[in-house]
Amino acid sequence: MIVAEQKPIEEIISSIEGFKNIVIAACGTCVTVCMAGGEKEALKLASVLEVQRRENGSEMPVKVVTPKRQCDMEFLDDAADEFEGADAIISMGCGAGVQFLAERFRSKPVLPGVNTKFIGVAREIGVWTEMCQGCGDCILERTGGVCPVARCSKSNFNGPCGGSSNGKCEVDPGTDCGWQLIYDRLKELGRLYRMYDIMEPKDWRSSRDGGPRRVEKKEVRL
Amino acid sequence: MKVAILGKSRFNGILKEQLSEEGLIPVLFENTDEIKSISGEIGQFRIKTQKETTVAGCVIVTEEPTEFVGLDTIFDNGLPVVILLDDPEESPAYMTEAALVKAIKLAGKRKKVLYLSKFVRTSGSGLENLYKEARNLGVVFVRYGKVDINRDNDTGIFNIRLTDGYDEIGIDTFALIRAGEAAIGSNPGRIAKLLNLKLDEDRYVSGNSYFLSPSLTSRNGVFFLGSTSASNLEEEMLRKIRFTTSAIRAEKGEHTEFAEVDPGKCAFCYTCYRACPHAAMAPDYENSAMKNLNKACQACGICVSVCPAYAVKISGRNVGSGFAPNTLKVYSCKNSGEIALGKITGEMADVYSKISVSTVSCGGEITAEKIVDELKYYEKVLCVTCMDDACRHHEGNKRSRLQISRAKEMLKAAGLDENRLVYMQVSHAMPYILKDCIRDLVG
Repeated sequence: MIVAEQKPIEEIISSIEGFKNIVIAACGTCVTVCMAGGEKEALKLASVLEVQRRENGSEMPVKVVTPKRQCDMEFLDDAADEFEGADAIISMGCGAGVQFLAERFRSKPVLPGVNTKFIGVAREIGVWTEMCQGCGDCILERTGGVCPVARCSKSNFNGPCGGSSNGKCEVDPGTDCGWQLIYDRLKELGRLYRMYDIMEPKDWRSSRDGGPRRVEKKEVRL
Repeated sequence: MKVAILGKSRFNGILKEQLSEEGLIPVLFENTDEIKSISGEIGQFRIKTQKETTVAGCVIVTEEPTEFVGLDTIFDNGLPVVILLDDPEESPAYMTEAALVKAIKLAGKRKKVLYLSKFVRTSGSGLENLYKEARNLGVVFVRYGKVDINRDNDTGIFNIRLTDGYDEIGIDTFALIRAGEAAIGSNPGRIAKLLNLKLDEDRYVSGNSYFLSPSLTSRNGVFFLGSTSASNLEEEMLRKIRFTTSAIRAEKGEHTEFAEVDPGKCAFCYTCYRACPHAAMAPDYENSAMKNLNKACQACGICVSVCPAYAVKISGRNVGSGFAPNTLKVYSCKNSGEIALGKITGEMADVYSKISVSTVSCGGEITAEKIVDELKYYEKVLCVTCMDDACRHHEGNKRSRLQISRAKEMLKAAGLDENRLVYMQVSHAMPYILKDCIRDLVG
């Protein structure tokens, strides 16, 4: 899933300065699961904003709307009525959600409520870690199912750097060395010989270096 | 009703007899490796082996990783019975009381008893007298700072090393009674996993409820008799068996309050499943959502508080906010605050018009969003939960503390007065502290 983290309240408050009628758009998919921008978080934010506004003499309620996903236009169409009258929208969706809302409601400023972090997994309640960087050319088959692009701090392709120590990365002792994980996993699988395959320099055009990307599935397009 | 007994134990025979006497049908699964999965809830646990599926109303785990040593051996050796209160902090009063009563009982039978604790606790009704009685019967009290326990698997002797920072002493015993009995070994560990039991930090099943409810686990209808560092005393095991059979008899399965999941909102993220201390959430693949096992649910509300999609509610209860021109909103947990409040009703009559009280099953249900929302209607919000280690729902009180500090953070960041939120922990025996706090808050 896409993992995000709520923006500091101070930042959100300063971004809505001057706007009277605020609607918060939660998103019912990834950011709900990673507890950054689901209905619960949106209601929490709405409560704080309302209490703050009340103290400053404004009784304007802050509305919360939760489309199932902000990245499919039909969900936004269904919720369109709810945004009527809004002077600004805070989107708690990932960066894609914020932009799609902005495309749909062109006359309204759409402000981000979360910082979109990475594609990752839930390790335990309240902990998510990065697993994929969306490089566009998956090589997990060669590395025992552990991604060197996302999980090695340097995205090294042919073994660890000199900063790998006791299985940890020099960038942060709390981070596992990606190449240690690859080694351990290949060993478990009895495929350690794959370590001898030299990986050629990667063609990063499939990644961000090729500019904004587009995926087309021809057989479903008329 | 069938009752499944899981595991090998020399007490299985007695247990079966006792269950039969109660009109229950014991079904023994001596080889627990044959069990593939256990699903369902109280009243209808489904235990699957390769051969068949058995439906049982309750489950008792008796699996023992080590052999028990006979009673004769214990006392022929002249080794003492050791009662060890090994809570991380000060032991709760109820546990001290239960441990003292046990020490007195054993000492009365001319057994040598050592009572090891980190603190001498006297603030509890009648505790002073119990200490006196125990001392008169020759119970030896030892205060310690750190404890280290090793068990010799050949002889079955526990070697306990204690230090208070200056001196170190060693004690050998066959009979060790700990605050949190029933630590999980590898074999019972597998069963605990199959049953989705919550373990505390020291990997005990029964945690702090051991002295009063020796075989209760986090799940309704699942009991745990097995142990690794347990007492070797036969009478101890018999006490547990008596407790278990009467608990099963008393279980009527009447639940009026339970969590309800709105499948339309549920993001199927498994957060409630992971957080539920009673294993009362289960995946419902037909609806692509979680569902609540009503009979297993104890309505503690922890799922309500952790659900990021706002998809869970406790049925039959409305703790919603509404406009009330009052000064103070109080959330109090059933286990402590509600009882303490009940004791001071008369003395608080003059301020009752200024406060509004909502009772929750457990502080775990309190969320940052809910209490901040209350600030729209109330000047201040007070959340009252039970003391650490006293929560019946595996640390719902600690969860509420985290939620309140998050809410305070948010208020502070928004330039609001964080002191409008107050959190306190009380026991049911501390009504006056609560009264003082409420009076302070309403002015």
